[in-house]
Amino acid sequence: MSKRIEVKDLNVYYSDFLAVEGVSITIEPRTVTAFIGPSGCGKSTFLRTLNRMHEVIPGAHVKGEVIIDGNDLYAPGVDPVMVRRQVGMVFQRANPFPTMSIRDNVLAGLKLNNKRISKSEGDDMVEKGLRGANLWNEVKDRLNLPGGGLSGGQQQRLCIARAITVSPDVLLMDEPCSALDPISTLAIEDLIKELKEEYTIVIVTHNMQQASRVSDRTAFFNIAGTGKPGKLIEYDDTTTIFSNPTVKDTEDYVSGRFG
Amino acid sequence: MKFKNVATAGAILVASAIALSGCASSTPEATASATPSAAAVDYSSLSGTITAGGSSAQAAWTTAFTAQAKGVTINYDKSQGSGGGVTNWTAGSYDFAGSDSPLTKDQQTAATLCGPNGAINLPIYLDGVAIVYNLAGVDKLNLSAETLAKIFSLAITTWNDPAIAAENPDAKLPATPITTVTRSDGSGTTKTFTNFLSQTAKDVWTYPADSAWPIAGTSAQKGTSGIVQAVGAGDGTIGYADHSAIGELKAASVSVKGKDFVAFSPEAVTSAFEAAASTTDTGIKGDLAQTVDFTAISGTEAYPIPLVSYGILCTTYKDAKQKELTTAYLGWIGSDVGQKVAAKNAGAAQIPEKLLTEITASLALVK
Amino acid sequence: MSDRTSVESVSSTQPRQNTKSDSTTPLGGGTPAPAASPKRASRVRPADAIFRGLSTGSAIFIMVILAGVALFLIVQGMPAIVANWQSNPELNDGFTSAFDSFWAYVGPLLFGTLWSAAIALVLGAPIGIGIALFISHYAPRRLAGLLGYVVDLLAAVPSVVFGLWGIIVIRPFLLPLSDWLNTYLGWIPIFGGQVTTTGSTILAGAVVLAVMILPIITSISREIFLQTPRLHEEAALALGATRWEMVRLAVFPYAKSGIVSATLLGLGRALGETMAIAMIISPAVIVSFLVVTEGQNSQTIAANIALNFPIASTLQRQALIGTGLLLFVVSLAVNMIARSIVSRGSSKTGGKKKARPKPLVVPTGDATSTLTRDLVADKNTAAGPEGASA
Repeated sequence: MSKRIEVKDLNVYYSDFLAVEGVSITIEPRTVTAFIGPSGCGKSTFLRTLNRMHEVIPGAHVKGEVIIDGNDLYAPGVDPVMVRRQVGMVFQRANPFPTMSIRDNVLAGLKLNNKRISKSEGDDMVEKGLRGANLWNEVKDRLNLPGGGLSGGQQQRLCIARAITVSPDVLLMDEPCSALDPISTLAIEDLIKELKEEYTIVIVTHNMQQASRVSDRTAFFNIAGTGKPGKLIEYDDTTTIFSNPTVKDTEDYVSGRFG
Repeated sequence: MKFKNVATAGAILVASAIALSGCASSTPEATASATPSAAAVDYSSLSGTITAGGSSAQAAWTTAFTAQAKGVTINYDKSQGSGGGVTNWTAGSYDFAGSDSPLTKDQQTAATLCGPNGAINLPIYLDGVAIVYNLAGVDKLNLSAETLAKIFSLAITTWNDPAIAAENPDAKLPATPITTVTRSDGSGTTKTFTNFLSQTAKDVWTYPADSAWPIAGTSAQKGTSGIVQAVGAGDGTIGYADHSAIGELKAASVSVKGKDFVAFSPEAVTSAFEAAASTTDTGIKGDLAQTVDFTAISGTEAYPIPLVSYGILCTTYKDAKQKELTTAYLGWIGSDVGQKVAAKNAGAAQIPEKLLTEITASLALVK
Repeated sequence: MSDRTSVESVSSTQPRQNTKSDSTTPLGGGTPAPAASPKRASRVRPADAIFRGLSTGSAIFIMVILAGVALFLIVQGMPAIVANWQSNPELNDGFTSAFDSFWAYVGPLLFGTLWSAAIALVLGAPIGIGIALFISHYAPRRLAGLLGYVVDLLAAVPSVVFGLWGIIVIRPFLLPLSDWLNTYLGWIPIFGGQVTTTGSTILAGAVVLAVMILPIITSISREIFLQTPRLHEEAALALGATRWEMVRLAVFPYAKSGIVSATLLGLGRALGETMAIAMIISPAVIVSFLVVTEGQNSQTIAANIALNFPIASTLQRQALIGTGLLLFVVSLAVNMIARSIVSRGSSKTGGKKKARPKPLVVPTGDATSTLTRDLVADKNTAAGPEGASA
C-alpha cells in the first residue's frame, strides 16, 4: 500500500514561467511529511506535481522525475488518470459532491473504475472508508442524505474517506485544516496519525504547530522574490527543522520572524 | 410585431430574385399603334413622392418612370402582397394599391377615404399563370384543364397516368409520383388559377376560386419564389406561378378543351385576355374590374390562363398634388410605352389597346 | 469580449432578477449613504430618488406592455374564438372554411407548433449542450473564445436568412436522408408516408430550428458549466476521473437545472419562430407526426399567421389573433417553467454558493497553487505582494 516517493531535480513551469526549481526529495513510506513555507513559495504547486493535478491548469508542465515505487510518473505513456488513482488528494476546502449522498460520495472513486459493486460489497466499503476517516459513528444513520449537509470538519473527513476508499499508495493533503475550527482540526490531525500506518502522507500546511504535531519530516520551501521560482531550502526530521535548522531562512521562518 | 419586419426583409430578397429572373424574358415585338400613347407628355415638371404598395408586379415600372420624371420619388412596397397593399391603402397610407384581385363592390364602397364615389380598379398588368414542372426526360408537356384539375386535386398521383399519357402521346412518361406544389400563403395567382380550374373543369374541381389553396396534401410553399424553388428542386414536381418569375423552369402548354395546346407567350396571353375578359359592372363610374370567362378561350393563339393585376385608387383625392402624381404615373403605366416597359422588365403581356384607352378615360375622371 | 457579452446574455436569464420586484433591490443596495452616515439616514438624495423612480418606472412599463399585449390578443381574438364557425359566412370562406370551430382550427396548429419545436429540441439541445461543454471544458482557451463568439453570432443571423439557407441548402441536403429513413425505417410511424421529393419537410424545418436555438442553449449552458466549482472538478479528477467522468460527476449534477432551463428557453424560441418555418415547411393544418413527407406537415401557429394574415377578412384576422393568443399563453408557460426551475435550482445551491471557490481571493494567497487559469495568466502580479513580503 504505502510507497516511497523519490523526486529528482524537478522544475515546475506554468507555460514559460518557472514556478518551482530544482527540487530533489525522498519521502519514505508510512511517514507524514509536511511542506511549510511562506505564501507563493510553490509548496502547493509542488504537492500537485506528485499526482499530476497541476496539469489541470493549461500550460503547466514539469522537467525532472517523480518516481513512486520505481515508476516515473512523468515517463512517456503514463496516464495521469491512473496516477491519480494511486495518489489520492484532499483539498483545503472540503469538496464532497453536493448532490450525492454520503454513501455515493464514499463510493464515487470506486465507481469510476466502472466496477459493478454489489450492495453488500458497497456497504462494506462505505463502512470501511468512513471508519477509516473516523466518521462512521457520526453519519452511519444518514448515509443516504447529501454530503453537503455535514459540518465542515465532517465534510473534510468525508473527503478523506472518499480518497482512501480507492486504496491509494499515497495521500496528498493540501492544507486540509485551513478552513476548519480547532476541534475539527484536531480530529483531522488524529486521523492523519492513524492513516500513516497505511499510507504515505504528504501535507502542506501554514500552521507550524500542526506541522510539528503531525509530521515526521518537514520540508521548508522559500522564494527569493517576485517572479522568482520557489525552491526547497531544507528537508529534515521535523524535530531538527523546528529546533536546530541548518539554514538561516528556515530558522527565521519557523521562529516567526517572517512569513 | 417582429415577424413583420422579418417578413419585409424576406420579401425584398424574394422579390429581387423575381426581378433577376424576370430579366430573362424576351421583349415582344413593338406594335405600331400609338393611340393611347403618353410619350408626348412631359413628366419632368412633376415633383413629389408617391407612396404605394401591394403585389409585386406593379413594381416593374418604378425605375423607368422616375428616370424621366426626375422630381418624383416612388416608394412602392412590393413586400406587402395584394392583401397588405389593400389594407394599407384602405387605412390611408398609400396613394394607390397594387393587387392581383380587384376590390369587391363592398370593399369599394367601404373605402371611406375615397369619398362618396368610392374607388376604382384599373387593370394595368397582364401576365399568365405558368404551369411549371420538373420531370426528368420530359421537355414538352401538354395538359388540359381537366387533367390539371385532376393533378392539382391529387386525383392523379403518377406521371404515367393514362390521362396525362393521352395528351402527350410522344412523351416518355415515367412512373414517378407527382409532387404538386402550391402556395402556402394567400395569393392572387392562386385565386386566378383556382378560378380557372373551377370554370373549366367543373366536374373535377369542386372548390370555389380562392386566394388560399383549398386542399391539404400538396407541397405548399411560401411565395412564387418558394414554388419556383421547390419545383426546381424535386423530380416529378408540378406547380403554378406568374410566368414572369419562373426563370429556367419548363412550362407546360395548356388547353381548355383538351386540344390545341398553347405554350405561354405574351401575345397568346393578350389574345386570350381580349377574348375572355369583360368589364364588370360595379356601378362605379370608371371602374374597370375585369371578369374573365376562361371557357371562352380557345384556339391555337390564346394561352388559357391570363393573370391580370390592378392598380386601385380613389375616384376623389383629398390632395390635388397626390392626385396629379398618381394619375400621371398610372396613366403612364397604362400607356403603350408603359406596357412595353413592363414587357421588357418583367416579361409581361400587353393590356389590350381598347382597355388602355378606357384606363386613360377612367383616370381623367379622377378628381 | 465574447465572454462579456455572453455573461450579459446569461445574466438576463438568470433567476436572480426573475421577478419584477427584484429589479428594485439593487437600489436598496445602491443607497449606502444613509447607512454610512446615520445622521442623514432619513434624507433621500435626489439622484437616488430619480434613479429609483426611473427604474421602477421601467419595470412597471414592461409589465404594462405585457399586459397590453395580452389584452390586445384577448380582445381581438375573442370574437373569432366564440364565433359560430359552422354558420358564419366570413369563416366559411377561404382558409378557415374547413373548420367547425376555433378549437378545431387551432388544435392542429398548436400541435404543429409543439411538434416542430420538440423535434428541433431533440436535435438541437444535445448539440448545444455538447458545444457548451466543449467550450467550457475541452477546447483550448483561444479556440473556446472563438467558438463562443461564433455561436453567439448565430443568434444575430436573421431568421429569413435561415429560411433561405433552409430552402437552398438544407432541403436538398436532407433529401437522401429522408429517402433512407423512409425506405429502411419507414415502419417507424414518423418516418412513413409518401416521401418528399423537394425536401420541404418538417424535418428540414426542425433542423434549421435546431440551428437557430443553438445559441441560446449553448450560451446559457456554457455559463453554467463555467460556474462549476473548481473544487468539485478537482475532487473528481483527484479520484482518478477521466475528463468525461469529471464532467459527469461534477459538472452535470451542478448544471442540471441550468441545462433544463436553457433547453426550455430554447423551446420558447423554437415555439415562436415564424419566418424560417413558413419558408421551409410545406404546411397543412392537420395533426401529423410524419417528418419526411411533403403534404402532411403540421403547420405552426406563428407561420400560419404570417402566411394568412394578408388575405384574412376581419373575422379571419381575429381568428389568427386568437391562435396567437394561444401561442402567447404556451410560450409564457414554457418561459415561466424554465425560470422557476432556474430559481429553484439556485436556491437549492444557494447554501453552496458560499462554498464556491473565489479564485481571486484564495485565503492563503498561495499564488502558484491557485486554481484558476486567470490567475496563472496573471501570475507575476499575483505573486507580487507575497514575494515582496518575503
